[in-house]
Amino acid sequence: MLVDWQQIIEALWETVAMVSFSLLFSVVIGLPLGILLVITRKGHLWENKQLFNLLNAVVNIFRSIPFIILMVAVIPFTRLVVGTSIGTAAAIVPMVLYAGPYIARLIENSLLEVDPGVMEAAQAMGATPRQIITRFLIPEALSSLLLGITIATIGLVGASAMAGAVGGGGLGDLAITFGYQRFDTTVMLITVGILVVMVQGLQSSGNILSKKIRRR
Amino acid sequence: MIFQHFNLLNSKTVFTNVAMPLLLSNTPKEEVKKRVSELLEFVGLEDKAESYPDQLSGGQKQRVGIARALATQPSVLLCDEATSALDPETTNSILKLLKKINQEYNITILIITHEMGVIREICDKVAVLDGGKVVEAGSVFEVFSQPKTEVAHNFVSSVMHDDIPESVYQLIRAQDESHQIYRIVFVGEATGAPLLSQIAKQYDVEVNVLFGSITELQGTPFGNLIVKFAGEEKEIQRVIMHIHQQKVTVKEVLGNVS
Repeated sequence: MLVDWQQIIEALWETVAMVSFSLLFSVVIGLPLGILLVITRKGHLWENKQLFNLLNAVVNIFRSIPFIILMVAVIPFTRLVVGTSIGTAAAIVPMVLYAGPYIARLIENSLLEVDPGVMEAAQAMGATPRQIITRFLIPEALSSLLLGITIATIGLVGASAMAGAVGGGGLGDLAITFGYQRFDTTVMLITVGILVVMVQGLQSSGNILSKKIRRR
Repeated sequence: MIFQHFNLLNSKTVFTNVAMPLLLSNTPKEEVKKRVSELLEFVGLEDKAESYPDQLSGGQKQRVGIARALATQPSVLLCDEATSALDPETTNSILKLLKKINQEYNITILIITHEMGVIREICDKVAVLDGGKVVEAGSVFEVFSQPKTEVAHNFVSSVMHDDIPESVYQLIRAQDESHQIYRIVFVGEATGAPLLSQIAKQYDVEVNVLFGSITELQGTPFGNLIVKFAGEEKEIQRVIMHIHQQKVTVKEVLGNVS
């Protein structure tokens, strides 16, 4: 059976686009959320029990819904945002809702690992809360933040394949429609191969970048 | 302020760590550069500007911490157990540096520590805290030579070694009229005077030093001797009179003193 490379490359680009855009929006949402989850904690920069409990609950709710269900459940919202519930752009909405809270948790974890002594030193220097976040907390956690974002990106690659199942396009769509429904084993193997290489590449670049920042 | 565990930014170079307080207040770049290299030279780390904290030893990290604390030219430097995580040799070099800061920059240094050696080495005044309250305060000399509270006494005895050992007590308990044991406390110049040899020559008593220590406190020698005088009681009384005339404190030590 002949392999339509044109189609595969097109699907690859759709996957890359879905992952990149949803990663971008997820970080935009997840980073402030993660920071808020840290600084509203008891005894932290901006202690606020109600806000912490609220954010914590929201993140937990989104994190507990399996992606395939989340995708279907938010269809009305997706329509509201992008005008349609089918296609690559439509897939990005549930992907952001899935990865945003996930990234928030990963960022929260990294920031909590920062030595409290560094914060003490920052306060002793007279740093403002904003300076403490931008000049102390984030730079100190950056190496670990990058590893977290790498994990989230790989999660998004997986999610993008699932999005394919409901007409989101991309490599997952290709694998389902050709590989599964038309018994085209070659296409199935090629898509799986591409996904494996993609994830390997992402993890390695994440590791290298994180190591470079850590400077050890 | 400087800390027991240094609290440096591991993701930044030594230069940036020291520059941090200046960067926070938006000091012009040129000025930051000048000030930081000045400070690194002062603490003896001018060749480490581009190193990262995890490439430094504990003492070097504390020097970076000190340079950082001095960046904004404070009038008081707070040290929170600044030497507690360091080995004795490094502790000494850090104390020397603190002394230098005190003298050259005229900065008051407030040290929080449980290391009595640190206090004896560089402090002028001391306050003893117990359960969050100041229980005793005064010059280091006063508190170390005559601690008034039990807490202070327990702390101070770790460096003053003026508690009488059990073996000496056994001798004290065995004393009779011809043997009398006294504690003689010398302060300052008196430490240099050959008091005991004078006594041995001028009076008909034998002098035997059982136990003793001489320490320096704030540049003043402080001696503490447990001495046995053997001889006629009358002669010993004359000796005690003589010692009193020299303005040296002398007290009889009794066997039941704890």
